Amino acid sequence: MKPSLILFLLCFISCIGSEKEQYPRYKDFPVQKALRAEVVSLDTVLFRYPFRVTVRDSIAVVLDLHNRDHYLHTFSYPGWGHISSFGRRGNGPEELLSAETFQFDSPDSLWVLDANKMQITRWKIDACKWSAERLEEISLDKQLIRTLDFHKTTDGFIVPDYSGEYRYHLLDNQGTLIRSEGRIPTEKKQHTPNPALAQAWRSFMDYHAGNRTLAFATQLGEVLEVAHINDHTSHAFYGPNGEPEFQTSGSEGIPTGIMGFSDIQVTDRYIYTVFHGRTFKEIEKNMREGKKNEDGGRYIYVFDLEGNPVIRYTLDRAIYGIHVNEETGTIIATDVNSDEPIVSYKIVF
Amino acid sequence: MKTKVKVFIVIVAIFLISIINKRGGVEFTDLVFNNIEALANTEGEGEFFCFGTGSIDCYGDKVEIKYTGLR
Repeated sequence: MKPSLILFLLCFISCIGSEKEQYPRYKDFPVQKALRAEVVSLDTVLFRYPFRVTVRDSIAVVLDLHNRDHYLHTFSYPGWGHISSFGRRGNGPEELLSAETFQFDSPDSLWVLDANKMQITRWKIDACKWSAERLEEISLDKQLIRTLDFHKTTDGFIVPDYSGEYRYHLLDNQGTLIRSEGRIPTEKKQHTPNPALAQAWRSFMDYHAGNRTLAFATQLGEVLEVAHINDHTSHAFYGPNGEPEFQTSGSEGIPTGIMGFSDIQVTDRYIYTVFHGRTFKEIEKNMREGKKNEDGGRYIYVFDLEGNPVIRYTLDRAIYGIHVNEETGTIIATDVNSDEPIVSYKIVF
Repeated sequence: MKTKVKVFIVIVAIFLISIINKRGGVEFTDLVFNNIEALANTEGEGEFFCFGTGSIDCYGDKVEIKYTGLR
């Protein structure tokens, strides 16, 4: 066989194996700024892994993912005096097996997702009595398999899909599946078992009822999605690190690329995300050498509601969860690496 | 004939290297993680391991890294 023929065949095989770009790319941000944190002074509570933070009026709530006793802790705001700790870790009927995230709408509507129990519970915070009371529990539809994020709406709940068949589901107020929407915006050919694909595309999501914007940011890779529930539309935007990279083992998705986003918040005007960008090769190398990895993202990426990049903030430390208040120009953030676990940033546009 | 063989070997080598680069991935085959708690699931279809403290969902836990030795 002639070398030229071999070369042609190899090129032909390579071309067959390549994937086409179906989704728009963003390369950079038109505005880039650096931010310096202001440390928030806490009195007593010691967090092990402060994963999420939200502030509503005069109360702040922090979710500690790897706590000793309680997943959730409430504080006065802006004083940050400890009010109560609740959501005890355990297998009892009133306890939480896990806490993925929470949504704090009002003092009597703090919703907590327990993925391992497949339950969403509602709590009432009473700052005067220094207590938190469990008011309601909603069992999620068994068809969902596993639910790793949620948003409470007036009609029920929006939850991401875990089967790989869809992108998200709409549930009623009893947790029953009503409708499934969208699909995972992968550009790779579908040779992967769907649950593994869904695991690799595990995303953090937020919904803004005012502008009806539902946004997803991938935990692996760098993909932002903006969906509109009413007109069934969805748009994906690939960043420089592309879609989640993974391998499969049975029906499991095993991450191989980078850690991407770790939190997302949709506001009246923008979509705020925390971005990591650390490779699993680097993480594994540090672990092998006995070095501690810095955990979290040193970037806050801001997009408009159409998904276009607006600003990239470079931070002086790695953070995990954020709470953005555009009126005061403040971002409260959690830091899992430090003994100063809550910090604040002032933002300007 | 010798030239043809050399050209063939070079082309095949380039092709193989490009495939290896495309696959990427983290190599754990000779890995020994000391002082790290590990969870392993070797039942059912897949075999995978969960290491460290983090936010990657793994076997109902949240870990720093999830991997399989089969790379």
